Amino acid sequence: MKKVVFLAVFAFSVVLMADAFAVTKANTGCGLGYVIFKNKSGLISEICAITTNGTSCNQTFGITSGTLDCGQQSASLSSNERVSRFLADNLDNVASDISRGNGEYLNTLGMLMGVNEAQKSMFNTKLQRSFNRIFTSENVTHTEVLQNINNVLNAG
Amino acid sequence: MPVNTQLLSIWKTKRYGICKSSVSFFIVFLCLLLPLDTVWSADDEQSRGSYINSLINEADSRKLYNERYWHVLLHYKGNCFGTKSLIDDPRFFLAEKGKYDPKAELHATIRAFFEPEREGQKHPVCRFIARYHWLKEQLSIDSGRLPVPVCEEFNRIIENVRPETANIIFPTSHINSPASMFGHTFLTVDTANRNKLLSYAVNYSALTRETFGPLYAFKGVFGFYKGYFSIQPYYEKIREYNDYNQRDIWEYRLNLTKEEVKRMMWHILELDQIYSDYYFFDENCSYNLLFTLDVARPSLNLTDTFYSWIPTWVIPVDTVRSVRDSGALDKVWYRPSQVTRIKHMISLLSRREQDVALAITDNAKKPDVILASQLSLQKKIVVSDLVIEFTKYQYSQEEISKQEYTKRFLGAMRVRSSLGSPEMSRYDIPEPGNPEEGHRSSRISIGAGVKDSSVYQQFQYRPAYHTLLDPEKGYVPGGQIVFGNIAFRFYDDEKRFQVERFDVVDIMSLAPRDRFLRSMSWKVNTGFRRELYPGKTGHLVYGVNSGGGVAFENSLLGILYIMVEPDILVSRSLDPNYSIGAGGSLGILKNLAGWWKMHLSVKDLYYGAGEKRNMIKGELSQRFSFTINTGIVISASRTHVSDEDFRHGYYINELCCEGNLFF
Repeated sequence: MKKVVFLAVFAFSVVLMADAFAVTKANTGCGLGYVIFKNKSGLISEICAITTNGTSCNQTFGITSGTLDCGQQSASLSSNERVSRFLADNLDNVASDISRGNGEYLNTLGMLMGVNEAQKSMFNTKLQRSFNRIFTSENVTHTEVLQNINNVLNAG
Repeated sequence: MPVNTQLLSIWKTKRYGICKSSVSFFIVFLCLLLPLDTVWSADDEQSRGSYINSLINEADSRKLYNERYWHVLLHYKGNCFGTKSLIDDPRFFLAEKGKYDPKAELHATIRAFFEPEREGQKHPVCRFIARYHWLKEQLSIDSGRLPVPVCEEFNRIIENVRPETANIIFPTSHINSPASMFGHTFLTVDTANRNKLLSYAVNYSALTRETFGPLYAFKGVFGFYKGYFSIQPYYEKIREYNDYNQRDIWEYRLNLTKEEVKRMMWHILELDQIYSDYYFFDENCSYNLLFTLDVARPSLNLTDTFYSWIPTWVIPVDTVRSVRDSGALDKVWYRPSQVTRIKHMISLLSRREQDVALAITDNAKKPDVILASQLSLQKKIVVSDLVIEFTKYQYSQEEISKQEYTKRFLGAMRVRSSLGSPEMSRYDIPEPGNPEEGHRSSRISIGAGVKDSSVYQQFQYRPAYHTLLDPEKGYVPGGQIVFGNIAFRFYDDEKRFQVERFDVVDIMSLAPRDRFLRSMSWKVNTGFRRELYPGKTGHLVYGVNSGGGVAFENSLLGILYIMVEPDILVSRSLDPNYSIGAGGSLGILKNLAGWWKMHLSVKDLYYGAGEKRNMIKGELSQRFSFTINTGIVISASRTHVSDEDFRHGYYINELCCEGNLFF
């Protein structure tokens, strides 16, 4: 009985903690600087395992735990959603790689978008050249960034 | 376990036993009334029942419950009190006393596979998939006779994940953080796309929200936290360790086959949301990972290597060494932390070039000043890259607001992208020594010395871990962590055997400052030591010493540090029983050659409360290494002790020479 009460209180305070984060962040898609604090105490991922239903933090293979407060709750593995989730979780590192025209995050983005080895260099250079059209403002969100990238690629 | 099944199995075992008549008849009656998801005919049930019994009988005759693999799967370990599983969560066991009884657990597991499928619940074939596959193979279980012959969920996972290889990941320690001292280990599973960022990180850690250091330490040591396995994308771990905690990461690829990786994943899924009490010293992050490796390849025998009947210490880097020794390591990669990359970029710039970067990061000039500067294209690129990384660092350390961050971050990236030339942003960060190639974790020292014309022999034992003077390879430079060091001396003339010192902990963190990274240095140590007071011979006192200060790195001097420190001593031999002092120390730590290191220090303390005295001590220690695990240390020191008015002072000189062996 005590354990149940303890777990309930704990889970409730986890929810409260999550709420505290949510209150200070924009809810309509995530942008630059959003996720850098997320693992401040390294606990969020560890806390996930104990929430009462266990599914709110997607704790198994094939289902990546994304930034839930960005509204990306689905466990679907469609390639579009994979790109979107990767961007949401790593926007700052992807942005700095795009500005440099190289890097692991940029390569991963390319791979998720179906860019093959031969096209990689062109993809990287094109995005670097179009940096200002992709990251249009300080408050740009990851959904807008993805849209802009697609526009740049389609423009040829 | 669902109520019906539990009751059903109680009923079955009591069928031929002594009947507690009213109770079991009631249970039987209840079972018949409770709805079952599938309706078994009496014949089906009887033939299933006898098939189950035949499997159990075969398992018993072959003593499968004593098989090593069964014990690895259930995390059973033997000690003088019997066998016990290290897993504490009752949901991991199907038998009531499953935690202590491998045989009962085996029987209950076999029976559980034949349970009907229940809505909204994972079937035991899935829940205990590693056990299922092993028992299926050992007993040639006819899956056609099972209600759930195959775990569809797992097959879907394999199809989506397409696991190929596994790695052990070792984030090293962060110089300023005690909790990270011994590093950490977790696993990653690479998928068919071989992309590291997207690989799956499997991590065992204690669940805690504690921020109060001493309580965190106490609870972690004595098993008050529950440990869980968690799975998340590796990029989240990189962000946590590399970017936020500023720790270098070493990635060791294992040579496990695809089949072995699959077996490992079976077991990891069995441990999903199952807890074990987390013990910082022995049943910690690194130890629990070893079970998943032993399940993958039992010949590795890693969990037995580290388990003993008395509590031992499982140090993460030692587990990496064991994996290497068992031949499972394939390839190594070094992933420098953000601070390591920042320091490297700073080293490529002259002072003037650094000024351009500092103008932006310190004085809030716009990043466009880079374009307006007279620097070459290459230097403009390095400065832009540095400003980008350093700005991210400042934000993660909460030195700038989010608004400042996004503005400057975007501005710097715009500048960088306008400069093109992606190839100029490839930096060759020099790889430091591989941690598992560093000196081993425990040390003994045997030597002799002379203190004020008294000759002595000395023996020291240190369970862990590393001092400033020890060979640096594989360790964080400027970091010292000692636990439980004990020194014994025998003085020849007085035939006196004594405990010279006992260091409970001795931690020092020298983090050199530069124009960008304004780190602080600190130290803390506590334990028993011999202190000299005017008119008294060296008494064993209990001391607590800490200090804070700054350190600088210099090619001529090595690391130079300055600290202010309080010192608190407690002992019955002091009058009154304590002595509180404050003062400072100054030191130089220099590598004179790969095999020769020197530490020169001066410490000046004034004890103004309790038993008063003045103390000033100068010390020069030199370490000469023969191999990474052997060497000698020669120390010379001169101490002046006097009373509070600097009277009745005297000097004590000491010279000591010790041979060290790391093991």
